[in-house]
Amino acid sequence: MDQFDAFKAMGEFWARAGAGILAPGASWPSFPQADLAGLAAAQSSLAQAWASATALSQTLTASLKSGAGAPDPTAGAVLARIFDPQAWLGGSAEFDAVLTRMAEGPQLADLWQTERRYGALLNAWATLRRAQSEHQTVMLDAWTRAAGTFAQEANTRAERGEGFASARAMMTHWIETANAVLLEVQRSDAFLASQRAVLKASTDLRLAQQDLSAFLADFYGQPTRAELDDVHKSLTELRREVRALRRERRAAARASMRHDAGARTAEEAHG
Amino acid sequence: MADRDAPKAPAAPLALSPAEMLAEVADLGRRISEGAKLFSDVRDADVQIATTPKDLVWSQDKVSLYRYRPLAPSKGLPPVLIVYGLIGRYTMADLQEDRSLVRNLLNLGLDLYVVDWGNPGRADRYVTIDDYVDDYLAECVAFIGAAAGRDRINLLGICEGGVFTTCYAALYPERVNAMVLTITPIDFHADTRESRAGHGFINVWTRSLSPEDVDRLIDAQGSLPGAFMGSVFSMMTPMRTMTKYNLDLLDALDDKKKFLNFLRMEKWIADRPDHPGEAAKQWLKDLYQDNKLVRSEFVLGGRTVDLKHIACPVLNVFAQDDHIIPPATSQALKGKIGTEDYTELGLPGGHVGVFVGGKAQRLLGSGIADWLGARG
Repeated sequence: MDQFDAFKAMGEFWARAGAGILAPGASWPSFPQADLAGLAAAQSSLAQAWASATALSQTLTASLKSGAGAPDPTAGAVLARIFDPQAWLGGSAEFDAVLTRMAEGPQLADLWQTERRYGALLNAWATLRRAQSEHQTVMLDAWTRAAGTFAQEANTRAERGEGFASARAMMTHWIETANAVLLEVQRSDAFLASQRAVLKASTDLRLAQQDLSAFLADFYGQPTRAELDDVHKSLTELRREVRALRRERRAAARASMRHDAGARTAEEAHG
Repeated sequence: MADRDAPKAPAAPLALSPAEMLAEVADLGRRISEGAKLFSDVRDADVQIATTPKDLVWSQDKVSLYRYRPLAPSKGLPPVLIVYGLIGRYTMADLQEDRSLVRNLLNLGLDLYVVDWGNPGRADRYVTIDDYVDDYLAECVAFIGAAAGRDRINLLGICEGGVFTTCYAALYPERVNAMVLTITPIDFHADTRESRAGHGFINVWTRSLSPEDVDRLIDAQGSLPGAFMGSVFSMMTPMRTMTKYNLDLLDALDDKKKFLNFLRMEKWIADRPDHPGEAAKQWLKDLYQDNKLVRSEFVLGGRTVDLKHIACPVLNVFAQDDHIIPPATSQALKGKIGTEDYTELGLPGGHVGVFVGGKAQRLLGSGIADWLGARG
């Protein structure tokens, strides 16, 4: 491989790796409509790009080390670093990898972690939407029952020539009918189960959001929710201790006053 | 089959002539027009709530203790401390001048205090019922006792606040002269004894959750959000919730006084603080799910709340149509405490109606004052 071929290979690597990296990123802004298959495809694309980059890097390194025109091992090692995608993405090799991550942003390994969290978030969101749909189905069934009951009664009235006296009277009757059905439905196993599923799914979504947020907050040096909770827990415990100490001090002061009063009484009695 | 089951629209549901329909529409238009004028005339000052004058006398962390200024000569009875819960705020007891338990009691010569738990935020996630009962409430009682020069004072608990005072009276019987409970749940499973439509939904709903559901909810939110509890309350009256801001409001627009009452109630409803997370876990799991209070198994500050240790006289007030705290859940206290001086007072109305309903709130004030007067 000559130098030209090496740069051509690098160009090809960047084009492929860049496309792979940008593909999932481009889909993030529209994540509410994203489907998990799409996300999986994006992740797969990135995985392929990353695998290609690694393979290419290894091939280039190997060819440089074994090539007839590359007897200098120092130059080979330097070039190997240059062809390491992580070194290129993470900055120069002089920086510690952790320090680089702290200072400059994610490496590909961290992007993977971010994407996994986005995946969990999307999954939680999809679960919530499904739970809401199932709950809405229960409610829609209740509405159909109420509407059927109301229509039947209204038809019976109409057939007897006893329509509602006013639009308000008709509305009042509909409200009473619907209320009775809804109250009954709310105690049904189907309603309670589907509502519990919605609550659970919304909680899971919130926790998935917090997991992602904690990851990013940690990444950018911001306090995470868990760290704040720790602080709040300590604060609550400290407040408890302060209150207890105040009570003890007050009790001691009262005891001292009683003691002093008792001593004075005794002195007066003996004086 | 499907055709037979499908609901058919009413054939001719309205027995109205075109002239009658026009009249109804015109009436509606008039009311909307008057309502628009009312809306534009009303200022925030017109819908102030909790206006009875009071002074801050003690505070710690987010908790404040107020003493109301007297409105009548003192009867010389031990002071009364009003204790509301963490769901909603004490202002319901002083909604407006002519619907105020606070004013009614002051007018009857009682020395009245109220504790305000403040606005717990996410930072208060780890505050427990132990803190509220063993610390804050105990401190309030100590302060009032010292200020009045008395060892014992009277407690007036409302809803969850009634549970707090019940726990306090069981843990510190030597500090309570008499206790009034209003709309207070004691047996959280007693809703099953009655099967009135729409009553006790919170009990049923809470039992439909697993303890892990509650833990995860609090982990995710850090608290039991006030808005969340508001939505649970709304579910209890589903159609009322749907018609509240259209039909009900339209009805209120006929009368300025009625309209302002509506707005004041809305103001109270909107002021729904978040319930601290760990305290919410105790409330939902230990009490609503495991029903530990009535079994004398609830533990606070390392001590078991034994209802038999309640030695003071107890007046237990419940609302006969309370759909949030069904009467049976309150009345379960009878026979569980360590005193024979136990009185029940069932008043007409619902959970809030007892405090703001025209007839009930007058009966409530005089009923409490008379009962306390006999136990001074």
